[in-house]
Amino acid sequence: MLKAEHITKQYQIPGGGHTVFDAVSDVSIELGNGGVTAIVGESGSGKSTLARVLSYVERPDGGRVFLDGLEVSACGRKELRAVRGKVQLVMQNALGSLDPHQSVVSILEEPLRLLFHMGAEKRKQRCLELLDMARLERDTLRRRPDELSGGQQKRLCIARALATQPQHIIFDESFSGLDVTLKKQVLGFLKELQTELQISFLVITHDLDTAMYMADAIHVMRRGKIIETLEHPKSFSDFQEPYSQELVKAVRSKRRALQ
Amino acid sequence: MLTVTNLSIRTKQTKETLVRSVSFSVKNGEALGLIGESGSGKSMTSKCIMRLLNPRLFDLRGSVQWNGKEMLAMKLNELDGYRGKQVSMIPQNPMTAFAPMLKLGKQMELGFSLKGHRERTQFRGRLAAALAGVNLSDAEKIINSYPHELSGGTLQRVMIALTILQRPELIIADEITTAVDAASEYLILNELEKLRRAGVSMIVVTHDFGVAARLCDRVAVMKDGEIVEEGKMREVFSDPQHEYTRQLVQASVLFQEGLC
Repeated sequence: MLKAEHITKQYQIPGGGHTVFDAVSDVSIELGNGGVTAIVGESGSGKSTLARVLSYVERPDGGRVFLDGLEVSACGRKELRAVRGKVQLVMQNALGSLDPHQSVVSILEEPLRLLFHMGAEKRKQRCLELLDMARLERDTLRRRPDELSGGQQKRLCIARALATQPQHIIFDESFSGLDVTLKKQVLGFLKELQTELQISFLVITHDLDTAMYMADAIHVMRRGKIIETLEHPKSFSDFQEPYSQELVKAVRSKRRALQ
Repeated sequence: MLTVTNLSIRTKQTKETLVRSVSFSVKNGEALGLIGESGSGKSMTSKCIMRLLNPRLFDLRGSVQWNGKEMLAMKLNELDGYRGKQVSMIPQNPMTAFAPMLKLGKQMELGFSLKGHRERTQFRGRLAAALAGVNLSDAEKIINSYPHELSGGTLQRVMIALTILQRPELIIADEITTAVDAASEYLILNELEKLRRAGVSMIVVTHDFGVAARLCDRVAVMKDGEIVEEGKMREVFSDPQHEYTRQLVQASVLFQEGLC
């Protein structure tokens, strides 16, 4: 279980002297084992900062993060390294987060070598398993990221995240900017994968439609705070807060036009 | 008003055909949706209409007629009154559309050939009003910012405000909401809808049927450089004929209310 208590993260405003900006202020969130949670909010609402704190890429300025009882926000680099693989972050720009000089096989092998000290034979075996899990053809192994299609790149990022055998995967706007048919394909595949592996997913998005399609629980974030949480929402009308309703309006305006 | 007939675009170097014999027209006050996914040739078609394709790299066939004039044959110096003034394109990526070394206020003035302090002050006033219209209330801050200091969503709205100020007859909106969040998308669509009601014609390039539905009367669906289906927005959406259109329609709504 990944648990964050009263997280605050501040940034210095460039050229603003000593004024600080609360990117995340006093946010508590709990991700169980298994299940899909979503955080919805617009650009600048603090979603990505929270994702970076939850995946202990950044330390919070206030509050604590626990992974199965271990306080990761207080751990040193060595201790963190041991649990690095447990929480994985998948980012928006697939091509930008893959090393352009490495082939698919070396991208997938790196964590196997560094985290699990696997031998060559075992690594090869595991790479093929990962490709199968991400529904990638086996002949992509020798290719480089730029030789893959957008959908394949996204799947490779997911395979790379799965390589560390994580308990939690955080998708930070991983699906925005994808073509609609591709997005539906990738989301559908992730739902299958989630049922298959029973790991927990945190989907961070500005798109309420994606959140409703994927998640069991939805947190709405605004100006660094979680302003509304819904468990098992059944309809867009379940949202109560005025700001959430603004987001609902955005989705519904397009729906209404389509009817 | 705009008639594109049998337009084909081919790269000179690899002889690859990117757009194949595309025909459509946009009448006065009408909005046409050009729907398709990455690589379908929508953006190439838009750029061709704007004469933005380098003739040394691309072979263009067919015709693009604007109010009876052939635009593909037009000399570069004759394009001045056309580009920006009559037909204006809002590009896909706002981060690369602005000059990086100029503050936004400065570069926004450039297209309006302002003379003297008075015209400049007047323009700043109109600019502030246009920015407020796309929900950017702090005009002073935006005018004094460099492009890299603002987010993509903000820059896209600045671009739309700038287009509105130019009062073109036809706006080509190339995937303008793809890079912004849902709340900004809503504001941008509202703004474009207002322009539609004011009688501005549009070509809305998008992969999102929802965006097309809010703005367009007719849509043309593109795949691999060709138009595979064309018709009234509602008819194409509710009764798609082509298999690819059907896939697009199915993917355009993810969460079905009342079904879970």
